[in-house]
Amino acid sequence: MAVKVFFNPASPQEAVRLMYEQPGRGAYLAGGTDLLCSPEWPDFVVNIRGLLATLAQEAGELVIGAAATISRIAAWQALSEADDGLMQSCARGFASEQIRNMATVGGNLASAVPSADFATPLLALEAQCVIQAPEGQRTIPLEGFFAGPHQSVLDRELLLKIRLPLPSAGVRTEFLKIGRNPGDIATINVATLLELECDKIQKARIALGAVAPTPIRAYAAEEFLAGKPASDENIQRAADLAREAVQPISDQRASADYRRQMSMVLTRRALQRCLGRNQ
Amino acid sequence: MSNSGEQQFRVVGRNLWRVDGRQLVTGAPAFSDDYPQRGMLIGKLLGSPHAHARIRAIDTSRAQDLPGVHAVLTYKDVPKARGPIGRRTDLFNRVPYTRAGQDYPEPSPWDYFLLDDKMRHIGDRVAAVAAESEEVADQALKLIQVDYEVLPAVFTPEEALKTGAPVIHNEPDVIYVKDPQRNVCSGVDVQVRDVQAGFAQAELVLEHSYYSQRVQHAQMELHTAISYFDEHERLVVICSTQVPFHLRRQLARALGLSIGRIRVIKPRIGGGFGGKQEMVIEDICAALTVATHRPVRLELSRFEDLTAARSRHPMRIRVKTGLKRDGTLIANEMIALVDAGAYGSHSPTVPTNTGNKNLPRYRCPNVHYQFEAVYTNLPVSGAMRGYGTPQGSFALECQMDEAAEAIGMDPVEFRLKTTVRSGDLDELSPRIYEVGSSDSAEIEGWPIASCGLQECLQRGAEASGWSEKRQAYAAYNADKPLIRKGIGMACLSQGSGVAGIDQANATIKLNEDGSVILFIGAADIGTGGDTVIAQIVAEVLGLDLEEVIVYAADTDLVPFDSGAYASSTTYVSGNAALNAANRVKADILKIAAELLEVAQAELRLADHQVIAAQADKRLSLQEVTMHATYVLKEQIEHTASFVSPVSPPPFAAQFADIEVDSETGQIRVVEFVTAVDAGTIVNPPLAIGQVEGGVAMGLGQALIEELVFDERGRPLNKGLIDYKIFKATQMPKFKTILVETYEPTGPFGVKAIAEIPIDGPAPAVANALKHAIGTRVFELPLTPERVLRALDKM
Amino acid sequence: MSLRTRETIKLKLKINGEDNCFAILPGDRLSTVLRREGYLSVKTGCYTGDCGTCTVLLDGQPIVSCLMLAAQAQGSSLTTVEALAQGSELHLLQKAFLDEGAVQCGFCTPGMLLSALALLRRVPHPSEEQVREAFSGNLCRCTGYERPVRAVLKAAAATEESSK
Repeated sequence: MAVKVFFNPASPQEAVRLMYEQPGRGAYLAGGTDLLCSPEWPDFVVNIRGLLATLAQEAGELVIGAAATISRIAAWQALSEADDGLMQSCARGFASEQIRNMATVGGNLASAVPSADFATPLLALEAQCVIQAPEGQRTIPLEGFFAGPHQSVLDRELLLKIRLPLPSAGVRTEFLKIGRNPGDIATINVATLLELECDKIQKARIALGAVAPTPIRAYAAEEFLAGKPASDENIQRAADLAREAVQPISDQRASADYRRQMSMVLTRRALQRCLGRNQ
Repeated sequence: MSNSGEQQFRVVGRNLWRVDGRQLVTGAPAFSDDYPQRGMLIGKLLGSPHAHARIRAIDTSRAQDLPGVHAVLTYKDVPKARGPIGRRTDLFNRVPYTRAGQDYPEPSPWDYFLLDDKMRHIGDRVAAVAAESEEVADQALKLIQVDYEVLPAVFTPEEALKTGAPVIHNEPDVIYVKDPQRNVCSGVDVQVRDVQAGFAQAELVLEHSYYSQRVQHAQMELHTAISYFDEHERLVVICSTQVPFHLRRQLARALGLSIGRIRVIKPRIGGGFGGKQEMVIEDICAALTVATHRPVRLELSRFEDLTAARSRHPMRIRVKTGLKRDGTLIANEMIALVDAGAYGSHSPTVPTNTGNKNLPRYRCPNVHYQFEAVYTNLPVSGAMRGYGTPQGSFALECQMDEAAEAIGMDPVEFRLKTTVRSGDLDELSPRIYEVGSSDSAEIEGWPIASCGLQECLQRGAEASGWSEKRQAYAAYNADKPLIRKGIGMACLSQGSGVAGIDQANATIKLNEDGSVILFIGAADIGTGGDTVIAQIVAEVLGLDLEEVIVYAADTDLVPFDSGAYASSTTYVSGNAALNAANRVKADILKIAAELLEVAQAELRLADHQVIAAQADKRLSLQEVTMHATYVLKEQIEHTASFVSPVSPPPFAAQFADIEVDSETGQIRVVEFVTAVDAGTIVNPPLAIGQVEGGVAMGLGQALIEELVFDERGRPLNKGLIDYKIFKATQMPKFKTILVETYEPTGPFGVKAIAEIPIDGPAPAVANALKHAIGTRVFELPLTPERVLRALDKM
Repeated sequence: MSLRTRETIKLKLKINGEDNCFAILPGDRLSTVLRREGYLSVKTGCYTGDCGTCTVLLDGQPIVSCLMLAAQAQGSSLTTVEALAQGSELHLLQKAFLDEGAVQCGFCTPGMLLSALALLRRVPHPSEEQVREAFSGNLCRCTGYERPVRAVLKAAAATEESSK
């Protein structure tokens, strides 16, 4: 129950080394908003708060330090300009002011809950995860990061940063979420991204959360839209395909039926909003 | 009606700072947990993992051996009494009691034991531990080995009533349970005249069934108690209670101590809402102090507080209404099936209110009310703001909308026609409370002295734009747009204290400078009760509010008071303070009359002075009190009491303007209007705060709040993360109208205001939903899924 | 190798402008340490960051102190409600809360005051919507938030007046 040792590593490498070398159950601690809510605390924590908080614009991509807080991401103008405000919109509906000042985007992903709010926009943006292992760094696409409910592919490795390839100029995005009240854990969330050329959809990305064991992409819907005119019929067809991609459960927040139906409704709405059709 | 004549108030009716305001905004020590004691141990409870089980064996030796553990208590420490009194060696004895904080003898079943070998809901008390730190206490809980015989469990009243259902209270020593073998905890069946005859005469009979869910108080301060023996070996309990005196008496019974050996102190309370009208933890916390002879602090976790403290009684209510096509009500019948949960706390009285705080609101000659409260293996239902009224108002106000619609009448017009006026009689309540006193047919009704309901309906309708919106939204919705709009309303009534039962006392002691010390038993649970009572005293004595120093709710210092429940504080405790203040005033005038050599009748007390207007003489209050103290050698001090034979109902009309997303089923409340008649208003911002807070809580019940359990009775709401209450960002626009009437029995004309605002949001929103989508949802909360099903979209 | 037995940590931080040094355990929550050290304005109502009664300002930003280990606050600067009043003179926000009847039970009040303080420092003249968003992490079961929101708007207006 009780945390016995608190480590303050000076570098990510040291953090990972501690995690591998120390006996007992350890955990990385950044914002604390997930870890300190869990009923069973680790034997030791490795504090990475403030260690991986850099936000950087590099060649052709944006790089988010895993321990950057949600508040800082929401205020990062380069990001909102590049992603048409997708991440900012997600941040706005995230928990509360206090939690946004503490919680980190890396923590949101690493906890690997199916409803993680930042998973869907980052899936839609085709994010890459940079992971620090004892033997060095590796990079994997976010699509391959989630293994199941509360399970990521990380063993004791550390999620270092998230790399976002810059979307093409003029990209349109939307994030929608249903919760029981503002800032709630998502009953369902959806992020969509469209690249358009003369009313034709060049590229579509559709990601859904809280409707499957992990956050998912609706590949069939994305493929269907590629190269098609942005007609209401095509949008509806894509939304129907998104609905077929989900495998939701029933819980205290909503039934599987409701989630299934909302997969369609929110996907359609998000895509229509990307097209400037306000629904 | 208006304020009594030309009476001008100096302190009553003004926007004044709360007497505890400075303490609360500076974060000074105020709440139970802010008073830790030296050498204090941490108490923790082991909750049952099974909904219904018997402990076959329990081994606490490993927990007891853990360094830092000072006591581990189980049912084995609470044996049946052995040997003659005075020669017992056990610390505790098994005695049945109720934890419902009510006047003695409590009407609730005595079906609880300090610790028992039978578990009746998940989280029920298995054992209690006192240890030197939270960590050690947690470890100790894990080391307790329990072998349970798991018993079949029931989770709905319907299941619990079936023949052959497991019996939840089959212990031989419980008392005051209506029919334990059938799991029936309590029930009432009363009739005014003859509803069957009424239905036969009616031109139209409607019958529907309405369900209200289990919601929880979710007050911000968790149940917290600190207990210790003081230097005189008296047991002191500092705790978040609404009922210090009832608690003291019940603690004495549970622990086998004399009442005089116990001192209960209620400091500031971080919200009660009925959840603290109950000995939820104080008995076991104090037992740990008795066992260890050390101070002990026990605070529930939010999970325990949500799922193993108290919650609102879920009810399924069948309403049958007979009326004429012109809107005349002929017969109203409500039959409620009530989920009492695992113990009978408040279960005889909460569902009683469901009928008698609602049905008498309508002029209807034939009325029938019946309920049966049934034990289940779920957490205990108890007192919660509104005390049974919201379940009934949801059912009845939805039904009245259905009735209005059936005859094609506007819902407001229907209520203007059918609801009570000043001078009408409440014929139902005396048939419940005066049973046995005379033949039911001969019981006279209780007169309703002040009733501003008509004005509430009119002014509320006007403020909400009722007539225009009712029509405009219907036209707008006709095209079946994505977002539907609706406006709905409900009218409400509650009570001011419990008639003939609630008792309050106040003592006022005069200082030499004319300021006073006010000692009251009343328990301010955050409502501002201390402030409002002090305002009443200041008004009588011509003082500023700052000159009334309040000591409240410490059983060693203040006179008896039933406590804070049933919207009683301003009306009942306020009346006691008024009486005491009047006696003090009479003493002052008597002394002043002698000093000024004028007749007492010619004197009045105002603005720190005793004034003889005609003789053009005056004395400062200080001159009088100095004279009393140092010349007459008298301490001016009076105690007075108050018990009301009636419980004057406040009335209200509430209006909800909503938008419904017809694809997601989500409801947004845009504006919420309350027009309330609570008699004279003593402190307007505090009164309006009661309304707005009550509406917020009621909207939660209407839309998002519910305790849910899995098929084994395990709570799925793990904390506030899954028990949602309204946030600042989702509140509607508020309009609150105080319709002042003058209640002749109230201090300066007041009635109650604390509970009534929570009664209307659920039916008003449900009625607005019907207006918006054309179909009715009969079950709370009005979740998106239920809305979509009603729209036939799921 | 087994884990070392728990060692106390020396925590140095500034609270309300004063330097402090506390002996803490590695697993102590910041809220626990603050209450233990006498900052009783810091309340606790859930330990999951939902209620916001333990709100403090960490380097000027509102956070929930129940979800931070005290050891993480090493070297930082905290503000609690104890800092608001100057002697017996209440802060404008405190006065506005009392004027508007924004305090009922008062348990959430310190957290709300701090959220409001952080907002007014960042946005001296906020819109109603901004005030509500600033309270997004402060649950209140008594007031329905209307009076606290008005109080903040009133305090903001009063600041404007006094700075003219």
